[in-house]
Amino acid sequence: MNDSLVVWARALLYLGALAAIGRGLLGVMRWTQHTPSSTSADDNNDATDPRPDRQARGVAVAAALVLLLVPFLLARQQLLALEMPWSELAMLVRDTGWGRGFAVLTVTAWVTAVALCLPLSRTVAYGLLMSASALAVAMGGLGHAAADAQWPIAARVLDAMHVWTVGAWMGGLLFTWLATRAGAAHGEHSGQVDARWQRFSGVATVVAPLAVMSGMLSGARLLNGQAPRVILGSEYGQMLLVKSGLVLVMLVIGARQRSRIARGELPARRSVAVELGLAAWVLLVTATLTGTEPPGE
Amino acid sequence: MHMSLRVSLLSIALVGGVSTFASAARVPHLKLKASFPAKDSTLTTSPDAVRLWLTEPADLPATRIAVTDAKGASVPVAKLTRGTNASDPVEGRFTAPLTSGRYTVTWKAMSKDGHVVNGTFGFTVRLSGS
Repeated sequence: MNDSLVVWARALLYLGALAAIGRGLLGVMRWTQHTPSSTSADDNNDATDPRPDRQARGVAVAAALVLLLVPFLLARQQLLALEMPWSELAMLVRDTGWGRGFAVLTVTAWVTAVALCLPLSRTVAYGLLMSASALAVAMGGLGHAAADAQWPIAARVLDAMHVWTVGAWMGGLLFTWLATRAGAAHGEHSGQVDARWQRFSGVATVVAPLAVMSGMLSGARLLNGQAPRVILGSEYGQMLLVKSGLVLVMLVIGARQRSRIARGELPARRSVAVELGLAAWVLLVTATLTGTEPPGE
Repeated sequence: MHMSLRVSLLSIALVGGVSTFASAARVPHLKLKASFPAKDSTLTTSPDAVRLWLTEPADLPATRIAVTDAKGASVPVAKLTRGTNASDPVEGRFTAPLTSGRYTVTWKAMSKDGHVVNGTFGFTVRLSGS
C-alpha cells in the first residue's frame, strides 16, 4: 500500500514538474521571439487574448493541483515508513536532512503551482521557468543524489539537469501539441504552425540527447563497478532496461518527427500521441526505479 | 537547426564533464555495519547500551531502537545519542540492567535521501549465577 503510494506520488511529482518546465520554457521562448504584429495560438494563454486555449490552461491547472497535492503524499509515505504521526512532521522538517530537502521541494512546488495557474504573461513565463527549474534542483536533493557523500553537488546537478531536460522535451512536446490543436480550431495558418514546431524541434534537438545522457550517467553512477550479470539479475537493472527500451522508442519517433519538421511537414498526430503515452510509462517506471535499491548494496 | 546541433554537442560535453565527477563512485545506501551486542551473541554481563554502527550518519531524530525481551515486553531505552564523529555509533542506553534471557533489537533509520531502512537482530544475556 505504502509502496504504491510512493510510486504514484513520485510519478505525479514528475508529471507536474515536467508540465511546468515545458510550459515555462515555451512561454519564455514565445516572449523572447514575440513581435507586436505576430499572433498565433501560442499567444492564446495571454490574459489579453480573446481566445484562451482552454486545453493548455486546463493541463496547466491540473499540473498545479498535482504539485499542490504531492508534498502531502510524500510526507504521508515518509511518516508511514517511519511509523510516526503527522505531529512529528515539523520535527522531521526541522531536524533531518530529508526534512530540509522536503521543505525546499514543497516551497518550490507550491510556487510553481501558483505560477501555473496564472495567465502566461511575460513575467509569469519567466517566473514559472525559474520556479520550475528550482523545483528540478529540489527534486535532485531528495533522490539518490542526496545520499552521494563523495560528489554531492555534481550528483545533484546531474539529477536536476535530467529532470529539467526531460521536462523541456516532454513538457515542451505536450504544450506544442496543445497549442497546435488550439490553433487548428481557430483557423491558424500553416506558417505559424510550422514556426511553432520548428521552435520546439530546435529545443528537442538539444534537450533530448542531454536527457538521455544525464539519465544514463545517473544510472552509471548508481551501478558503477557492478557486473552486467548482477545488474540484469536485479529488479533495478530490469526496470532500467525497460525504461531504456521505452526511451529508445521515443528517440526513434522523435528523430522521425524531426526529419518531417525539417522537410516542412507537421509531425504525425498519432506519433506525437504515442510519444506522450510512452513518456507517461517512462515516468511511472522512473518513479518505481527511484525507490528501488541498486544491485550490490 | 545547425545551431541547435552545435549547442547540443557542446552541452553533451558539459554534462560529460560534470558526470565524470558524479559517476566516480556508487551511491552507498545506509546499512548496518556492526552492532553491540553483536547479532546472535551471548553476553555474560548486562550490556549498558545498544550501539549501531551505520554506513552513514543517519539523522538521529528519525532513528529508532526498540528492545524487547523473550516475552515481547518492551525494555526501556534512553533517548538515542551519537558522538561527534561520523563514525560514532548511534547509542541507546538501557535505563536498567538486563536480566538473563533472550532479547530482540529492532532498529529503523533514515538515510539522507529519505530511504527508510530497518533491521532486527537478537542477543542473549546469560548472567553468571542465574
